[in-house]
Amino acid sequence: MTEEMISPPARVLDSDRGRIGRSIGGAVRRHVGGNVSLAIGIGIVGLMVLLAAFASVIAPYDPLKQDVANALLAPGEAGHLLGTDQLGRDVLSRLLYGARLDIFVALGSVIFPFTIGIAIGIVAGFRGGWVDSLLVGVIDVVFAFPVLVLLIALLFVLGPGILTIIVAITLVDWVAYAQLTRTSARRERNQEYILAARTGGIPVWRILLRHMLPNIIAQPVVLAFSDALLIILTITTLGFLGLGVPPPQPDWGTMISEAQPYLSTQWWLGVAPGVAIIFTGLGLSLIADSLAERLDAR
Amino acid sequence: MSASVNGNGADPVASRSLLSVRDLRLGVGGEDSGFEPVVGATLRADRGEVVGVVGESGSGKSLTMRAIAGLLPPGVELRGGAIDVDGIDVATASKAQLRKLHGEKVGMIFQEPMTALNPTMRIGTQIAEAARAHHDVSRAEAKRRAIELLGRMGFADPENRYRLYPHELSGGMRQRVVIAIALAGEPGLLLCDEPTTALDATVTMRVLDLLVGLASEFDIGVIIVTHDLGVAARICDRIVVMYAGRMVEEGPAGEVLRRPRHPYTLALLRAVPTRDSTIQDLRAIPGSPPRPGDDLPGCPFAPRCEFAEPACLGPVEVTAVGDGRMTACRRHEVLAGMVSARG
Amino acid sequence: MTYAHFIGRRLLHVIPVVFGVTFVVFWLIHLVPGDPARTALGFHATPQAIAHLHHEWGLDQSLPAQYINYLGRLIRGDLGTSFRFQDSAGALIVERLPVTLWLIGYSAFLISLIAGPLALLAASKPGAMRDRLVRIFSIAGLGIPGFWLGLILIQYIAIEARILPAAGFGEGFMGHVESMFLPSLTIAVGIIPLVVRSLRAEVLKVADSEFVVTARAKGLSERRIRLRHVLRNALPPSVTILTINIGFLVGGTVVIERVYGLGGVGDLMLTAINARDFPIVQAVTLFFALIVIVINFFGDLLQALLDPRLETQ
Repeated sequence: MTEEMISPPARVLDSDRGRIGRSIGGAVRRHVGGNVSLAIGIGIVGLMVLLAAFASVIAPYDPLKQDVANALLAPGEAGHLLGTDQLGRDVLSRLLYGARLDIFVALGSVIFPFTIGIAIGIVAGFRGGWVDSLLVGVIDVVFAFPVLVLLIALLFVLGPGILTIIVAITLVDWVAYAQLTRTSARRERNQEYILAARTGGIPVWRILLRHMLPNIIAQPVVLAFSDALLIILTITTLGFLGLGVPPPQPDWGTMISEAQPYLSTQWWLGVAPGVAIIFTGLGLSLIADSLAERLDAR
Repeated sequence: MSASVNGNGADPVASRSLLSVRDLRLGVGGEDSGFEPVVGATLRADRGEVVGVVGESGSGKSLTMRAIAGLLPPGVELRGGAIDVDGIDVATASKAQLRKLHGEKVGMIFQEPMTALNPTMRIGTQIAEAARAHHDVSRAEAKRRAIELLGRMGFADPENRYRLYPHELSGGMRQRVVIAIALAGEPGLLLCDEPTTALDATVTMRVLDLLVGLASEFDIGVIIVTHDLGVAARICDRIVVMYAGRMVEEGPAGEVLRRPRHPYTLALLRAVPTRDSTIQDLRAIPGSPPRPGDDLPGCPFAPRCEFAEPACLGPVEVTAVGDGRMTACRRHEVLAGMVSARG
Repeated sequence: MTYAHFIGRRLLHVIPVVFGVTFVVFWLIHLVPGDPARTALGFHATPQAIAHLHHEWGLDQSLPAQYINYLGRLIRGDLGTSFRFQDSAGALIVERLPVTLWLIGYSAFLISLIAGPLALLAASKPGAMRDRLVRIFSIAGLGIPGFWLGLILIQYIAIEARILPAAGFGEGFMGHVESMFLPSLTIAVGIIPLVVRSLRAEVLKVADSEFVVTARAKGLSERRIRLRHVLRNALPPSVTILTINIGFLVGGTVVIERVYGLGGVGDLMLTAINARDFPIVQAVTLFFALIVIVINFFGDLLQALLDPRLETQ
């Protein structure tokens, strides 16, 4: 038997009620909104990523350049589209550079846990035994900590900085992917296509990578999008608490924190970065939601 | 417990008839974009009669049952034909009539007894609430009836079993609870959708015997949907064969199974192992059943049929072929000749 | 399996988790790059002070010995001593406990109060306008940062509209109810979208069960089907959904206490971090994990009470 012949079994439902129920649900979901909201979500996230990537080109000013004489300008004044902050720095430029920082820290903070979690989860789930029991124990322990509390404690001992944020988030976050993957791997390892591949003498790493992974990757991918949203919220929260990227690097959370004294008078200083977070979050949320919907429909 | 109270005794001959389904068409997902899983189901059942509906998965058997019970899954709609259950026109029934239909006219038994029972409710309560839904009885009276039904279903010590939850029972026992629920409203017609598929072979026979016993004891009509010709042969008085959402053959069980008048029935019979057949005699049906949504002019079985002729792609008519038998095959005479020639 | 058995089994499951949590918290100190004592005391610390701290933290002992010492102290109820306040971490936490527990309980209450009906509304007619509105609300609500929402609510509800107090714990029960409303609502808004989605999916899953068709086939009224069959069966998983999100909720208190100037345990943690008060950070981290474990444990017990199929795992 060649490898190509071993394909995952199509789910066969033997009652006609079940099959029709599914296809109707699927059809309805496919037609109602799913594509539209996915497109909007991708559009929003794509736009934010582009703005972040080309921040240095788009930004009208140096985000760090202080000009105390022109501090706290209102939006539109003296060529500052969104005004200036308490040190006279251009808010729009800071927002754009903030996007660069937050979005790329978030990206790094998703990729590492995603990869590590899936790798550990798939191996543990497939092998079972003490490896799996150990993983379950570790997952239970990490899940016992509120994410934010453990992150704050880790950042406290690791020190501030972009790298330590990514390391700390990876240390906490990989378990979510590991748990998801482990469960799927345990389910799939007894499926006939995997058994057939094992009987066929295909090396384990190849079974996991070529046969199992494609069948279980969808859920972690969906998780990655909702996770990216939570991570952006977390990074900005850390910035707000003064535990994130050290100033003067612009970060949306830090910007909100610095705007606190001016909320009554220069409300836009606090509202603009908040809206940026919500907007990015909306995009990620839309993607995660429509992908999850598709996954359910399948 | 007397289910025969349903007979109003006006005309003993006419009231024997319980159910008539004519040219039932069910559609899914919009007139133009969707498809029709059932395109011409015709069916009838009388009191005291056990009718088997046989056919492969996807032939529309289960949906037809759901339509009769007025319990079509969301998204499936009635597009044509008529269903009359003991005087209720299901297509146009009012809400009040539907509630009367559910449980009081028609009891429904499902394929998977575990999922058909509410996991957080005691089995006795589930039976009693079905009784209370249709008869103005006190809680105590409903409980008494539920215990009586459990006893009738073969539960030893029904007073104590009443308090059990579904997960504390075996598969066969659960299916008996489902049957008790279906009977609690004292319906005239019992629809069984593959009632034994989820059960062990030994339990299957006992459950089937129970159903047949109920048909004669309470004088109710029983329709059993099955893909198992053995089951049908064992307990049914009459058999309806369905293929691709259509009725293709109908008649007394013994006649249909001994002398099929439709090539599909013959093909089904050939695929069943019997004591005398050798492995060479068994034949899988060539090709595969049409998929939902396939456009099928003429006889849907023609592409797989060894008797097919060009005319089979033209309009199909159901014809009576004597002894209360019907077939949708235009070549039934050729088939009859061949089957009798074989002996 | 009896309920007592179930409780016993859950306890047996919880014990190793508690040990694991203490181990992680114990290890935190060893994650500090370089010498933790020097990091804690700063670069101007005298060698004597550093040596003293080494001894105090047991860093001059072997790792297993240190861990056993740590566990021993925990069992005696000694969570460590702050070197800024010269007070026991336990006492500092207990002093601030009421605020944090109020915040956790109040926001959990608001979450159930708002998310439950919203989920039922959405699930009552999937695909209808109300369902879409709830869905849009939860998609959009998910991206609102709690600290930002808090600042906005303080600015516009408390300061400008003067409807509710802007900060503080309040006096007496009604005072707490009033003062803690905005902070609890802020936490709730972040978690309601997560809960609504899961609850809606759960209700729909139950409503799609075959036993609901059985109930309909019995001829029961729609009302009875919804209450006794659908809702009743959606209840146990709802408890799970709430407890799954408890980590977010508890984490949220840390930020929200800071935003609203509530001197709770979370605020103690942030203060300790600024003061580089390692024992307090360690003790508070452990405390928060234990809170989550305890809530999850009681959530499991409640769920088992609601579901006759005790063996849920």
